[in-house]
Amino acid sequence: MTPEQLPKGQRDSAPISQLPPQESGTTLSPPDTQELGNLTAPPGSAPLPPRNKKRQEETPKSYYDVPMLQPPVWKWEIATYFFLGGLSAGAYMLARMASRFGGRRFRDVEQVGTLIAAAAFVPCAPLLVRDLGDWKRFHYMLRVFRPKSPMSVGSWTLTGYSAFVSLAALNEWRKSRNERNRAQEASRHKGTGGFFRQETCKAKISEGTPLDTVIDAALDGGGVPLALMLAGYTGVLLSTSATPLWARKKWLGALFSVSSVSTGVSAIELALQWKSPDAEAQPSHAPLKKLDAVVKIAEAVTLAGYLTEAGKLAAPITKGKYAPHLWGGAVGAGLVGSALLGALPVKNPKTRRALRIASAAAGLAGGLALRWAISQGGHVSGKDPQAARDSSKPAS
Amino acid sequence: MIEPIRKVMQLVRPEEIVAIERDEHGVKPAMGFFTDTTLCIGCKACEVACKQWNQLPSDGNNFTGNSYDNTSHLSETTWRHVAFVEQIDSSRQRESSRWLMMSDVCKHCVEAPCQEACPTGALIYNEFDNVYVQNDICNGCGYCITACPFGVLGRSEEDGHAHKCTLCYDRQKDGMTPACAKACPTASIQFGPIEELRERARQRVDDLHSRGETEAYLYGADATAEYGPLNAFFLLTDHPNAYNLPEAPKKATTGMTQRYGWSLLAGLALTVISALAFGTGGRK
Repeated sequence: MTPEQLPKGQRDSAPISQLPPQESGTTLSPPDTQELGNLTAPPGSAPLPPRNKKRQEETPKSYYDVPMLQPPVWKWEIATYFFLGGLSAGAYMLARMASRFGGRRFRDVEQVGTLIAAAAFVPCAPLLVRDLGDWKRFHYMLRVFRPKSPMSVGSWTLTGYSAFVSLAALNEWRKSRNERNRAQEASRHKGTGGFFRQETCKAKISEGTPLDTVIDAALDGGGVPLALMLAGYTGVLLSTSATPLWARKKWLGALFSVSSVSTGVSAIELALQWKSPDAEAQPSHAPLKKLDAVVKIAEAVTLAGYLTEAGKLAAPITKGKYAPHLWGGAVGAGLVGSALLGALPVKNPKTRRALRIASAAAGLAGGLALRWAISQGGHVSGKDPQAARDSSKPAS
Repeated sequence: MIEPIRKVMQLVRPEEIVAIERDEHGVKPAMGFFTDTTLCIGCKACEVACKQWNQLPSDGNNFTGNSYDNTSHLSETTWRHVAFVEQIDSSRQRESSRWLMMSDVCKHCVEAPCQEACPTGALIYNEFDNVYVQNDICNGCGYCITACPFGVLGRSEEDGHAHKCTLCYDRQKDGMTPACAKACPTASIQFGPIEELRERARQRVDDLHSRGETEAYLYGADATAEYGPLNAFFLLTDHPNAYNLPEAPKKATTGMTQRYGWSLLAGLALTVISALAFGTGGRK
C-alpha cells in the first residue's frame, strides 16, 4: 500500500507508528512498510521529498474549462436602454447648451433636442423593468440609496432626470405654443397699422418672462448634471463588475459619456435635416458640424483607450462574436462612414441633404452597435474561463 | 491501543456543534466554514444535504464527462458543489497521480461585492456575519451575479430572484450546524466561529507541512491586498485555478470613484465644448 492509497484521515493516524519495529534480515517484510513508517515521522524531522514536481509541470491549471464566473443575465433590453438613455442625455445636454449660450439663434436645436431627449427617454424605464427577474418589484430600486452600487445611483439618477426631462418637454410645448400665438397676434396687427404693436410682440418672444428664467435655471442647473450622470453611469456600472470584458476598465465610463453626446449630435442633426430642406442655411448648422467632428475624435480616442486597456480581454468584441458590431458598426458606420458621408464634396443640395441624413443615421447606428457589442460581449466574456483567470491574476 | 484510536476519531469528527458564546459586549462571533480539501473524499453528501434541507430543485440529468462532477459549478440551485480534479502523470508508474476533491460553496466574503452591488438592499450581512439574500426584497436585477468574482450567484428562472448559499441561516438561528457540515463524514467541512476555525486551519497546515504535504495552504483565510478575508475559506493543495477559483479575486468597486470621475470629466468637457460652439457670436 502506498501512502497515496491510504484514506487521508488514516494518514494522520497514529497506529502505524505502533507497528512492531522491523527485524533486520527478514525477507518477508513488505518493502513499503518503511515508507509508511516515514509518514509518521515526528514533527520537526525532515519532510518528505517533493514527489509531485512532474505532475505540477504537466497539469494545466484549469478545471475542465468550466466557466469560473456566471455570465450576466442582461439581454437586449439593457443594451437598448444603454443606447436610448445615452441618446436622451446627450440630446438634453446639447439642447440646454444651445438655449443657454446661443439663445434664440439656436432655437431649432433646443426644440428638436428637447423632443428627442423626451422621446428617447420614454422607453427607458419600461425596458429596465422588463429586464428584471421580478418586474412587479421594480420600485424596490428606490427603497434605499446605496452610493456604492452604481445600479442604485443609476436608478436615482434616472428618477431625478425623468423629472427634468418631463419639465423640459412641457416647457417646450408651452414655449412653442406661446411663439405660435404671438406670431399669430403679430400677423393680425400687421395690416391694421399696428407696427409698434407688432414689434413689441416680436421682442416679447425673445425676451423671456421671469417664469422662463426660473425654468431655464432649473433645467440647466439640475438637469444637465443629471444628464451627464445618466450618460456615463452605465459605463461605470459595467466596469464595477467581475466580468473580464468590463471589470475595472477606467475608459468605459468616459467612452459611454462621449458616445452619448455623439449620438445626441447625430440625432439632432438627423431631425433638423429631415425637418427642413434648408437646414444647411440655418445658423445651427455650423456649430453642430464642429461639434460632430470634435465628438467623433473624442469617441475614437476613448474607444482606443478602452480597447488598449482591455487588451486580450476585449477579444469577444475585437475578434469574437461581436467583432462585426465593433468594427462594422461602431467604427465603420459610426465613426468612419458617418464622417466620410458628411464630408463628401457634393454640389447638388438635394444629394447633399440626403448624404447628411445618411451620415447622421450612420452615427446613430454606430452608437447603438457600440453599446450592443460592449454589453452583449459581456455574455461571451463571462463564460470564458481563460479570460476570468487572466482577469483575476494578482496585480504585479 | 485506545489512545491512537481516539485520536483518529477526534480527527474525523471534531466537536461539530460549537457553543456560540457572546463576547463581553454581547456580540455573537462571526460564523463560517473551513473546508479542508485534504479530507474530502468526494462523497457529495454535502451537495445532497444542502439540496434536501434547502429544498433546491435538481440541476437536470447532465453528463459532463468531467470525472465524477456532473454539477460543474455553483448556481442558483446548487449551493454546495464538489469538484473532482484528476491529476494523472503520464509516466508509466503513475506514481505522482492524485485526485483532488473540493466542496465549493459561497465564500461569504467579509467585504462582499454582491452585497455592495445590490441596489435594493436585499443582500445583507446577517447577525452571523454571513452574506444573505432576502428573497422578499430581491427584484432580480442581476447585478450581484456579475459582481461576484467567484461566480456563485445565479438568477432563478422560477421566481426571478437571485439565490445562493445562506450558510443555513435558518438552522443557525436554532443553534444547529449547517446541513452540509452536519452531513460531511470526514470533517472536510467544518463549521464554527470564524476565529476559531482560522486557528484550527493554521494548525492543520502546519501539521500537513510537517508530514510532508508541503503544498498545503489556506485560501481566503486572510485578507489579500485586493480582497478581504472569506468567512468560508479553504485549505488547498494546488493552484486555485485548478479548483476553478480565481487566483487573486478583486473587488468590483475598486477604483469606482475614479471611474465616475473620468466619466463625468468626459461629459463635462463635451458640455464646455458645446457651450463654446453654441456661444461664439454671443447670445441673441
